[in-house]
Amino acid sequence: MSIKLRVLLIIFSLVFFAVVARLVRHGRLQLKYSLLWLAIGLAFLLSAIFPGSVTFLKGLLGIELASNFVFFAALAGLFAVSLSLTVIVSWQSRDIRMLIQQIALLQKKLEQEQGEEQEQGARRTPPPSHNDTNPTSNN
Amino acid sequence: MAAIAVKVLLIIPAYNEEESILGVVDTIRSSGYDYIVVNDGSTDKTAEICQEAGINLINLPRNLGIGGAVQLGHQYALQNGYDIDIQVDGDGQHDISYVPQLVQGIEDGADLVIGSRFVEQTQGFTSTVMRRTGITWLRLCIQLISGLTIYDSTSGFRACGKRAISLFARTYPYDYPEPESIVRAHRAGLSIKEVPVSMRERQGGVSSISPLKSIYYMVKVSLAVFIEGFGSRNARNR
Repeated sequence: MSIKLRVLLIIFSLVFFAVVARLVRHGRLQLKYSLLWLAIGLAFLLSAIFPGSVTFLKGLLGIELASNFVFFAALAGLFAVSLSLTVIVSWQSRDIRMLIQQIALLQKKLEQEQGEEQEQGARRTPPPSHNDTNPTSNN
Repeated sequence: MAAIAVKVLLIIPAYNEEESILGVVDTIRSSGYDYIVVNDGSTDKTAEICQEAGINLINLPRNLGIGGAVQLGHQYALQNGYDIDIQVDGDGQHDISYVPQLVQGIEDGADLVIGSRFVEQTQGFTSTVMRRTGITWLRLCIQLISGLTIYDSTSGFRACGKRAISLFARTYPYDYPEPESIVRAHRAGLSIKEVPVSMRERQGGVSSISPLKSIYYMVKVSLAVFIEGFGSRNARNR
């Protein structure tokens, strides 16, 4: 790895850390989701500081070119991220569905109770003009 | 068994059924059953038409698809203490004169009773060749996975007893839920039975499954059935 590329990678990962930290602080990214991104940034940083680690790992996997190893690792990382995103989306759509159903049930219950009150009101309480003379209507 | 009257609720999921919903509900009203129309966030006048006619209606503020709408019906049945709920499509395909047979199936001890076009040769609409081929394929999938033989697994004309109501109120499949919910009920240890019914062609509106989508539908439903089924094996082992 050329010294230029290493410097570039270090700068890139530091900027990336800063962006992630900023997003978390402003509440636009939840802390638990930032961990994965920080781990990926850390991997970039470490491979720039210790280029030998990349050479070692590619040998371990039987990959000849360092660049191919980097592509492979990046692809695997992105797979993991997008899989976890679809898992999160699935949770959310399940939760949203449940909330929509709860709203519908509550609305229905409210309508039913209002309907019953009106019925009872029509049967029990006298017309509104006599209300102030009727002691039971004060409750 | 005359003493205790069972409370039966008909659930009518309706998504853009403005043409047929009044006809369906009129037949149900004249038969005297309790019913609830679940308006699944329709974009046409379904909700207005129902409100004007004083129909017992529950409105989903967003479109959830048939699974979400039917599940809401089960939740409503649970909340209001019904013993049996019966899903009836809002497009007029289902003939409610078969409701007593479905109720009888529950009273005979089944938890889920499916109104089937193929158990016996009944008169009436049995759908297209394409669709029947698909249904046969699903029957084989379900047989392979659970050992159950369900001839009409896509039938939406079905009755649930108390155990099935509380299971489905809690967990119900999403997109094309009929075959998958059978496997889910089986996995939860519920007993499932088919009774013969006949169906009519739809009175209005468009089927939710267009020809183009049918392959996607088959792949998805088969996958869903298999994944549910594998879960059942693990669940039994544990």
